Parts: sequence; C-alpha cells; structure tokens
Amino acid sequence: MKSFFKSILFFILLVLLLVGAAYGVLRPEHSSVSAVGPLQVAAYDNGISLYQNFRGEFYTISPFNDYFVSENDTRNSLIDSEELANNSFVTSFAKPSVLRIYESVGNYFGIVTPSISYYAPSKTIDYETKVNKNSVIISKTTTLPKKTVVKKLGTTISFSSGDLIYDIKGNLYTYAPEETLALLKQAYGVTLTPSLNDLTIPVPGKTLYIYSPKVAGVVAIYASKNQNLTINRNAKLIQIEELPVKSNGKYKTSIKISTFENPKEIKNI
Amino acid sequence: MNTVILSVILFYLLPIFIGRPLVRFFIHKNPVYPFISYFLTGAVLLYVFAFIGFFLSNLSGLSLPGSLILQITAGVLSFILLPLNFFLSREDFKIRKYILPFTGSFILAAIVYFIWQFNSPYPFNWDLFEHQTLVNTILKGDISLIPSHLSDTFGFDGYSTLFHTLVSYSQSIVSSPVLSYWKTIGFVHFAIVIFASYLFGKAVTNNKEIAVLMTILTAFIFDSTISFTSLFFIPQTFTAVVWILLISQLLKSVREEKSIKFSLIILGSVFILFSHYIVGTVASALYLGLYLFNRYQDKISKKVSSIRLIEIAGILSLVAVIFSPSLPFGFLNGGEASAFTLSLSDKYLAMRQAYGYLMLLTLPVGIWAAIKTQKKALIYSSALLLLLSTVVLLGLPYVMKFYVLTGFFVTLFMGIGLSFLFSRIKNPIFKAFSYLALIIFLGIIFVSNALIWKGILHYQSETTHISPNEVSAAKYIKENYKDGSALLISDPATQNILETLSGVNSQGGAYMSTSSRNKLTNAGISNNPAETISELYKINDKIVQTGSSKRLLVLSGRYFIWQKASQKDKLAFNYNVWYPADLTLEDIGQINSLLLSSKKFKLVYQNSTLAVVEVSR
Repeated sequence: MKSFFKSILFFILLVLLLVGAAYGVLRPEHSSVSAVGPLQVAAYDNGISLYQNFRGEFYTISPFNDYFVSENDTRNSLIDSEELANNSFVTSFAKPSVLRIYESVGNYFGIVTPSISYYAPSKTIDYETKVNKNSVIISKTTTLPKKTVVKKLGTTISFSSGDLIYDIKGNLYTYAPEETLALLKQAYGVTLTPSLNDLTIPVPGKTLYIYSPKVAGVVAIYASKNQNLTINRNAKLIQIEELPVKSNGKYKTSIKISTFENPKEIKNI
Repeated sequence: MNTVILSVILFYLLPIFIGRPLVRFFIHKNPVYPFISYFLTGAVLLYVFAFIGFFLSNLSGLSLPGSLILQITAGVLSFILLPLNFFLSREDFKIRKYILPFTGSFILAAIVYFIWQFNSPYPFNWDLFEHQTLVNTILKGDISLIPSHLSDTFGFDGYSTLFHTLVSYSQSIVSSPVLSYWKTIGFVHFAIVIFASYLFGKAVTNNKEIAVLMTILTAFIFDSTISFTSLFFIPQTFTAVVWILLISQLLKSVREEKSIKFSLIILGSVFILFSHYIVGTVASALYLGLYLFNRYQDKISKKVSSIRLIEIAGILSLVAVIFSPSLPFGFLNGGEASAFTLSLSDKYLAMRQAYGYLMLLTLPVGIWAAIKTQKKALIYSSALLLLLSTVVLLGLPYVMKFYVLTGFFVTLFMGIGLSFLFSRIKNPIFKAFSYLALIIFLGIIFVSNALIWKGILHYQSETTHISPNEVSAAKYIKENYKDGSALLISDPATQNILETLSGVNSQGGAYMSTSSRNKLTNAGISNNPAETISELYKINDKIVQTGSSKRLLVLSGRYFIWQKASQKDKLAFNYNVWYPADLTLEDIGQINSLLLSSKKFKLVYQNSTLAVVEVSR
C-alpha cells in the first residue's frame, strides 16, 4: 500500500514536471495557419487574413471594417473608432499558453483551423474558419448590445491598390494599366473590360475575383442568395451585405472564399 | 526490394561486411559493440580503394565514369572479403539482448519521423542538395580529398569527401531517386541515433530504465538550431553518431574492464576527424583523451581525484563562458559567421524551442544524482558534459555545431534526472501511465518545435522546401543539358535545388560567390539586353571551365523574390528564399519583356513556378 501511494505521489510529481516543461516551449507566432489552395489563412490581431507567404498582400476580414446598418441608416463598425482609440476591447489573439499549445498541435495535424474572437463592452464577435482544400468558409457570430437595432449586416474583405477586382463576366471594377490587361490576356487568355463608374459599385452577380499581379493566386468570393456584393473603392473593401437573422441573441453570417492558382484556372471551371 | 531501401541499406551494410573479416582476423576477435568497428574499418577501406580506383582509371586513360569505378572497387573488395564472413564464428551475431531496443528505436523513429514529415512530400534537409552535388561529381568521375577541389559549392572545407564517397558507393551500386534516397536515409540515421542513445545510456549507467528514458528523449527532442543531430543526415550528424557509439564502446569496455585495441581507437579518431574537421577535432580529442585518461588513471588519480578534476574543469568552464564575449575573436565574427554567432539569450530560446523547460527541470537533478553515485563512467560523462557545454556556451561563431556532441550528454543526464522520479513509481499501471505521459508531453514539445521550424515553408497545401514544379523542371534540364554544355544561373536557392536534381552545373549553388551575386543583380536590373547577356556570361564556375558554356537562366518565383531583397540579404550566405514560390503576373511580365528584348533569349521551358531561358551570346 505504501508503494502504491508512493507511486501516485511520484506520478503526480512527474505530470507536474512535464506540464512545467511543456509550458516553457516556444509557441509559433500564429498558433493556427491553414492552407487554402495557393494561399494561407491565419488569424491576426486585426482579423482573419488570407495571404501568400511573404508576398505582403493581405485580404482581411476584420471587426474594425465589418459593420451593421442601424435604424437611422447609419453605418457602424462592429468595433468602432472610439473603442479602437480607447483600446476598450480585447481579442483572443493572445490566448493563454495552454490554449495556444492545443491550437498549434491541433493545427499541425489539420484538426484546428484559425479563429479569433473580439470582446468589447456588451459585444462579442467571433470569426471561425472551415477549410476544405482550396475553399474556406469564414463564419462570423456577432452579439451586440440588447437595444441595438440592426437593419443590415456587412462583412468586408480588404484589398490593395493595384489589385484587379472583376466579376464572372469579365467586368473589371478597379483601375489597371493597359499593359497589365494585355499581359493577363496573353498569359492566361482572360479579357477584362474596365467598368469604373463610381467609387462604390454594386455588383450585379454573386461572385467576385481579386487578383493581385504581385500574388500567384486568385481569390474568389461567393455571396449567397441573400447577400449582396459591393465594391468600396475608396476604402478598398469588398462589402457583403445581408439582412440580419437573429438567433439566440446572436447574428450569424458566413462567406465562402475559394482560391485558384491563376485566372486561367477559373476560366476553365 | 525497393531500390531506395536497398541503396540505403548498402550504405551501412557494405562497409560492415567488408570490415568484419579484417577486424576479426587482424585486429580484435570480439570487440565491444563490434559492428561499429566493422563499419569504420570497411568504410576506410572503401574510401582508400575509391582513390586507388580513380587513380588507376586515369592512369589507364580510360577515364571511366565514377559510378562504374565505384561499382568495380566495391565488387573487387566484396569478392575478396565478403566470402570470408562465412568462415568467422558468429559470436558477434549474438545480439538477442539488443533486438528489443533496436526494434523499439525503429518503431519510435517511424512514429516521430511520420510526425516530422506530416504533410511534407520531400525531405527537409536543405543541406542535402550541396552534399548530393558533391556525390554527383564523384559519380561522374572526379574525386579528391578536398570538397572545394570538386565543386565551387564548397567555399570552406569543413570535412573530407569520406561521407560523400560512402554515399556515392551506395548510389552507384543501386541507383535510386535522389530525394527519396535522402528522405529514407534520414529516417535510418534517425533510428540509429535513437538506438545509439540507448547504447550510450546503457554503457554509462548499466541501468535499462535510464537507457529507455534516453531513447524516448532522443526520439522527441530535436536540436533544431544549427546542430540538427537526429533528423538530418549530414557530415556533422553522421560524425556525432559514430562518435557517441565509439564513446559508448569505450565506456562499456571501462565498465566491463575489457580492453580496446589502440589501433581501433586510432581508426575511430581518424574516421571522425575526416568526417568533419571542426566537430571531429573536438570529438576525436575527447575520445582519445578519455581513452588515455582511463588508461593512465592510476597515475593521474594519485595526484588529483576525479571529483577534483570536475571542480577544476567547472571553474575553468565558468570563467571561459563569462569572458569569451570579451575575448579578441572579432575577426571570426564578421561576415557569414556573425549569423551563426548566437548570444546566450538566443541559445536560451533555442533550448526552449527544443526542450521547453524540461532540460532546466531535469538536468541539475541528473548531474547531482550522477556525481553522488561516484561511478567512474558517470564521473567521466559529467566531465565531458561540462567541457562540451562550455564549448557550446562560448560566444564564438559556429559553436552551436558542437551541440551534436553535447546533446547526447545532456540527454543522458536528463534521463538520469527523470529516472529519479520513474524509479520511485513501482506500481506497473502508474509506471505505464508515466511513460505514456512522457511521450504525450514530449510529443507536444516536438510538434511545437516543428511548427516553428517549418513556419515559413508553407506552399500550397504542404510544408516543403521544394515544389513538384521544380522537380519537373530539373528533370527537363537533366534530359536536355546532360552533355554539360550549359551553366545554370538563378538565385542561390533555385540553383541549389536544380543543380543537384538536374546534375547541370551552376556557380556555387546555394553558396554562389559575392561577385556572381552582384553580376546577377546587375543582369536583373538592366534594361539593356546586351548588358544583361554580358553580365550573365561573366558568371563563371571556379572549378569547371564554363567560359563558353551556354547560360541557362532560370527565372523562378524565388528568383524574383531574391531580386527584390535588400543588397545586404542578397550577398548573405544565410539568406535564401527557403520556400517555393510560383510566378506572379508581374514576374511573367518581366519574363516576357526579357524575351522580347532580344532573340538571344530563348524560352525553352515554363511551368507555373519557373521559366528556363537559354541565353546565347
């Protein structure tokens, strides 16, 4: 019996020692990075980003840009400029060590995908990803203060100057030099027609493509039936707007994004 | 049997069975751990005979391909020596007590290697490319003791061509795909390192539990900064595993009061020295020193006790570590070396990446427990740990390379430290759970380490240094330029990969000279095609005459990223575009502009990762 209790005692000591040992391990900067075709998706402190290793171009879905339209038709960021300035919100980006270790080990084997949450007074915004080969579904769950009236919900994806934003019919909604368009046609057989009317352009279809000449890959954004796409050239945002559906006090919405190696690959599907 | 497996097995078994009759007939009838002595003897014989074979080939004027010379040499030696194996008693094959640890080591290695290679089709050993380049040169028909005489990839001769000649033998006898060969031999090396750890632990402590704990620790702890002991098969790690087997042999013979022939000690010392001059010098000095100390210990211990020696060594080590940053070694720390000079805080972080806090929590207990026992082998090991740790902690360039040696001793004392708890858990169920807990937590530490190490290697859905498109391009280049008429030019990383996989020469591979880097930069920014061509033709191999060779400019995604890097990075040997990158529209635009600028640029191959352009004068 004495030996049994001694065994328990030293087993507990061993486990404590191992927990202490694992606590000291260095954690990767991003505990969770998943491949989405030729791009990667990861959580940053400003949201969920799609990017390609070291290319410096990020397509980000962020609570600082995502918004809701309130009763008086005003647009409100999920985390507004005041909260941002006062730093009156916290994120799950700097998770506790144990969680980060769990996430990174799970991510290594493809079990855990990137996610991030934001907490501001009476507000919670959660972003989660579900990756399948070259596609990712980014789901957003938003909890707003009880009395908030929400007429519309908007999810945004940022882009950079120089990116080509076009639709399935080849309408190009951003400025591109003629040489770039000629090169695109020559390299991938894709013809784009400039369609630059306003700074904020409603897109008639449900699909938009973002192609940066600096990235070896195309991002395709698919809006669902109840979502509308708008390009805000001024803010360099693609806006996906929809009527809110509230369930258990939470607004849930999601957006499907696929990536392709080049514009020709899209043409061929 | 799979040609890759056969080729890898030959690397180990050919020297063993060639060396066995020689050792048994001429040196020692039954040495401790005989297989290491057989391997070393056979390997040295094969190396010497390779030179004789190449010499005779040149003398006869036949200039046979190197692969054929090695096949003939191995054939002749095997014909003479292999049959003698049947006349020897099989006393040395009584290895029943090692079967379980050997099998266990392979099973552990298989599990951890699977985790390491998870989602990764190709080996992670970046250095394999430069070593295979040297192997390719030997297989073509050149041999020298000095790597830089064979390929300008080697600007610094840190080792002889012993390692590469042994690899060449195995590849010449059974040809196999290069990347699969290195991935497989990487696994076998890993399993041998784990097994060597077991033997080392057993030799020093004669305690099975400590040896098993060391086996588990070695499997999961990967020194991922500079030394790479377990998971990379390169000269320094090969030297280290040979060395630890020799040290184990020596310590076991000390414990069992058996003698080792001095000729085997000299053979071992010379072998590890030739395998890696820097690591091998320290390794063979310690090996010889330990042998001599043990041999003359009666005389020495009359004057000074073993414990007092450790105390003196400890004080000297402490002084060396404290004052090494202020020693006048600035001349060593310039250039490339500065990138390999780690501060104490860098080393602390490297320790945390590989071990978490496990080293800090178990090593002191292990050292205390070891010294308390007063056992000779443990006292010697403590002294070696102290000396090797001092070397690693010094503020000098490249010292982290010595961790390939130090790591085994650290693991030994960590094993002893852990056994302090394990030996007190007598209940079999809790004992089993203790091992399970150890494996789980070490697994977590290993995966975290691997995640950081592989963090920049994302490409498509894999983590890798190279892409299938680069492998396909190398195949095209190999098939179309095998006559040696072309000089491949690209950024250092692309050169490193394509030169090795295609066999077509480049200037320096990953170690492209500063002058060539400047010329490639000029060629990249010039809008004048004549100037671009002129710069490309100024790039020349220092070993092989390439003045009139056609230039094969490879414009890869990596090349364009490299061209956009800062001049300081472009000139640094430790900067590379380590990850595969496909061509962007901007890159394709630049390729098109180049092709349109002159008919002297001819596109011969293109895929989504790179374009191969023939440049004529």
